[in-house]
Amino acid sequence: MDDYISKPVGFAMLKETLKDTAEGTDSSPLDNEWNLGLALDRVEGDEGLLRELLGIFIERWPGLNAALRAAAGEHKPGELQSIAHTLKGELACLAAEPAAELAAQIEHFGSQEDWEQVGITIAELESRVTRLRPAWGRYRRAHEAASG
Amino acid sequence: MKLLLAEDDELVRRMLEHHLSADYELVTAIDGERAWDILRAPEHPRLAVLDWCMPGVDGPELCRRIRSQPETASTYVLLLTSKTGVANVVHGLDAGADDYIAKPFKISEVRARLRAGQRILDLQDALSTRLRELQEEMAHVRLLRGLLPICSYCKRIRNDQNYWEQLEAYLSDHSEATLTHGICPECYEKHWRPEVPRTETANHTR
Repeated sequence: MDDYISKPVGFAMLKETLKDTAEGTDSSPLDNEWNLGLALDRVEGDEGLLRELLGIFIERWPGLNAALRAAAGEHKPGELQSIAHTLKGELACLAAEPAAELAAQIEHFGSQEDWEQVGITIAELESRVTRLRPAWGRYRRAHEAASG
Repeated sequence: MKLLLAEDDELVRRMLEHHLSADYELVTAIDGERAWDILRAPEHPRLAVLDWCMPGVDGPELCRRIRSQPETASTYVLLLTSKTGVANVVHGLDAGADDYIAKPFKISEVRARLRAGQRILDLQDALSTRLRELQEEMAHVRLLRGLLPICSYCKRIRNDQNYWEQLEAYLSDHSEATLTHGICPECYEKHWRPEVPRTETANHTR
């Protein structure tokens, strides 16, 4: 078994689970990429709030990612830095430090207008978030089930 | 107490709202202009958490505006940012922030810094009240000031109308003091004691 859904099954939950599964089958705990203990510490142990914040990021990521790529493609350093700065802050709040560091690098390369490095680092960030999203999705579902 | 939370990032804003709403009456803005409108309104928050990077007016610019207006100048401002380094800290504080906290933050630290801000505001309120009381008291105090021309012999004082006034009358007109008449030991010996036998004799004769 790679994943599960509790009954009763909601359509939105089913859609999200299938999407996560299609994007990544790696179910490793991702200890090196996401510090769950630190994330809970930042919200004073409030798992409900952490689930909510993860949900906010998961929902915002596609739009932010598209905007980041657009700014890089159009060589707009101001816009790129602003989006990268936002991603850096959010990923750091969620204790996904390696991904936050990549966002910081994008912000830096943007300020230098080093578009080649910007492109490379965006790809790395996308790869990390692709690995994180299913794990976050599973965490949310597991704790939603546990909280009844 | 009302607290202005100016943060354009939805995730960070949600985190702060969740943890601060129990202790403060939150007023939220997602950009600097809206935050400035809130701060200039009547009954505006006196405590503010401002993000550095916001659309339109950013955190440091908002701090400069806050300090430039008498109505907002006493607002306690906590600047929130992921910008690091001493230069950025100096920039933020010089712009007018009272304190600075780096993202990612621990909510317990944000709370502690806001409590410190509240103590500062309470102290300001106490000082303002005391100043007002002192000003009211001063309005009732009439002080004698400057050079008073006084006669070297009879001790009468020349008043503002150039009239030589008895000392008692002058003090009564120019101060809150009330005089009660007595006799000092020297004057008793000089003026009263010689009269005492004559007074006793007069009483016997009656």
